[in-house]
Amino acid sequence: MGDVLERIRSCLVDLNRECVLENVEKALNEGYSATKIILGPMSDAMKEIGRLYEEGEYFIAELIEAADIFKDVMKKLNKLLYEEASKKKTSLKRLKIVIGTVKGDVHDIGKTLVSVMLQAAGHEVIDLGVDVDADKFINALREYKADILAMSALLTSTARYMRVVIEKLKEVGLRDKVFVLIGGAATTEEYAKEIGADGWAKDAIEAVNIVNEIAKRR
Amino acid sequence: MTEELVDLFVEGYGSYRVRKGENLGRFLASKGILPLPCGGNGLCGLCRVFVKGRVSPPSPIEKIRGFTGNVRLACQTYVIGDSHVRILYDTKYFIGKISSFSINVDIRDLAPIYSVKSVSKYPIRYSRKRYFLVKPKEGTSCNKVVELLNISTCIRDNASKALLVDLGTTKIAYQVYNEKAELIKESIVLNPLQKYGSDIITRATKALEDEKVYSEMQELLRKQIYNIALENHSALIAIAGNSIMESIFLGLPLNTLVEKPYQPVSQGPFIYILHDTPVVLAPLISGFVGGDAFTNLVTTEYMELKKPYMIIDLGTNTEVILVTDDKVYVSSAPAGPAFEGYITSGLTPGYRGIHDVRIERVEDNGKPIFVYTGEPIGLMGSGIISLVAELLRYKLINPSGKFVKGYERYGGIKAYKIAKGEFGDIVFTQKDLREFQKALAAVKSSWRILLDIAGIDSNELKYVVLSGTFGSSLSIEDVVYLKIVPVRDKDKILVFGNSVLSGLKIYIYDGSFHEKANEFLSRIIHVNLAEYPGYMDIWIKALDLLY
Repeated sequence: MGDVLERIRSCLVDLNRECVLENVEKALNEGYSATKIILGPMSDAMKEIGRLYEEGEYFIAELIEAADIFKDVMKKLNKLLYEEASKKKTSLKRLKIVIGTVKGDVHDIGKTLVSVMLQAAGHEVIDLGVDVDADKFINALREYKADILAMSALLTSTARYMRVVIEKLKEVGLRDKVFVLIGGAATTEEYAKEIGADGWAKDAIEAVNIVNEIAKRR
Repeated sequence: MTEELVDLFVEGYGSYRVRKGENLGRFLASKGILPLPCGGNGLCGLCRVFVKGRVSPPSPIEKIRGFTGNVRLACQTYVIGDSHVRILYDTKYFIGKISSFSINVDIRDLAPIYSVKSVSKYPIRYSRKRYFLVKPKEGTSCNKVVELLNISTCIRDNASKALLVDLGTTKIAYQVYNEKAELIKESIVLNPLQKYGSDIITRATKALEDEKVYSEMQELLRKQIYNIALENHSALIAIAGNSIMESIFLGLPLNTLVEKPYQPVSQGPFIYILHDTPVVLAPLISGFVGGDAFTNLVTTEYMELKKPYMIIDLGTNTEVILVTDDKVYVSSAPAGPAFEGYITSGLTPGYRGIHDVRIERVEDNGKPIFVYTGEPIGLMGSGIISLVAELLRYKLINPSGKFVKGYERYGGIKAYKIAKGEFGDIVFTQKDLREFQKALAAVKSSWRILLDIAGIDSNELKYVVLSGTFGSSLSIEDVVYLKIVPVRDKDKILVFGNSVLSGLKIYIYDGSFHEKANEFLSRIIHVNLAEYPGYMDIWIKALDLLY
């Protein structure tokens, strides 16, 4: 990886906004594609930040700051990314994600953090807020032709509703068309399997990783 | 399908038939034989047992801690064939006395809401309001009655005392009083519902999923409390607990408590006749602010604290109550279990673990030398608070919660080693601090929002009362330093410890105040923090240790 790309990576890990933006500019001048910048050093840095978060080294404030810097870079590269995509080079696939905290549960923070991080990573997020019932999820999935349904719950009692939503998706014939991702303090990997979800994220970082993996495959 | 059963012999307790694959710790806890101080996570190492027979191989955490021979951690062990167990747990680590960590309030006008009378002298005075319940045991006649508020019921001949019960999630603390409000006996037993999960939400979820499980829970709980009542010749039982525990006892619906709107179907107060004994249950304020919080309020109001004042109950669910001249604002916030010791070396309330940590000095190589009070078996909530305050004072961590210097690494994770304990090192990791920060943020954002809604400046507060089981060992200095409370003046901070039983005592023994207390309910304004605009921003700011 070129020096300039490495600098983008390390500056983002250090949460140095100016340094990131400056080196993104330099990288473009040196002929690197916007797609390469996002999929290379920017993504690598987010993975590193995720690792630091897992260790407790970084915390929620750092995650939000990193997401915000990422957003700035996306704003700068947006046009280029679309152009490159239309030329059919390796392109960054943006996914549409419908997200919400399930019915009965009003806890907002974890879900909002996931929303912010996904937007930072360049995806389109339709955040339905809290206490969302199956019909509201389904209407949004249809209206926005979303790729992913992300559901959150803090309480084990309300997490039970995720199963209801998945059953409803089957009934209306949407189950095979969307990837169902669940998370929140009340959920586990086993629970995700048990209710027939496609993925489980233990935190915002992992949610972004999973969504990015899906984006790569499409 | 019939379940396969195996024999389990427990030395000193006898033989049991248990389901093949049963978790040994949870089974022993359900029988009240062994507590699971860290909630059955293999963290505290206190549920050690000597096992012979067919059990599951050591779990990863047991391997790390060296429990790979006959000595095992019960919570990590599953019974798969006939087995023989000896309990190695030492009760010396368990605090049995309630009065040592709770405030005691004297009754001003002794006028109990109950009395016991002989039927031969009955009725002494006929009242139209009075209902007479006749339910003596078959083949016996009614010799004695207990009068409670507007009902009378037949009671066992030897019953005369009142049993006051603090129905906790993990433990049931109780006191027995005579008719003169004199303390006869007090003790703590384990909550038999632990086998359905260590936290109330898990229990409620299991009950919601299976009605049979729910009726089992009710039976188990009522049986345990009734046995205590029989043993202590109680003519009246008074219970205060969180909304879920009280609702389980009563057999009320749980779904409205743990899902929006998070409210009980009825606020109470409740009367339930348990076989022959009337039971009074304290009113529930909301789904997450239960009868225990109500009794805290009874205590402070009985003591006629100057208003406005605030009650903060630190715990997994942190309740904050702001009492003004004409209103009572209440909120609850999910603080996470860090205050109750669910961290790497944590211990749940009620044990003699480390409850205070100080830094004696920092060595030339930057390593802090810790001194502590309590047994080095784990960190109590107050121990964690003092430790974080000290680390911050010595600038070993920064206000954003990052470990800066003087730490070691355990499996790659930064950690301070506090003590060397009998069951392993007592450590505090970077991740533990993150959990603590979340808990702290929940408390700080709660009181900020309540003050804001009530339009009261923190300077106007006359008192802040800290309650909760670990409250009594808190250092006020640390509480002020970490801004756990909205006031800076130490004289305004009152540490009450567990005031549930004192509140119940007032509620039962001062009849005129009993009515007054029930009227609090009409003044209560419930604040839903999650729906307060900007809650997330306030919470994130409050993650800063000095915000």
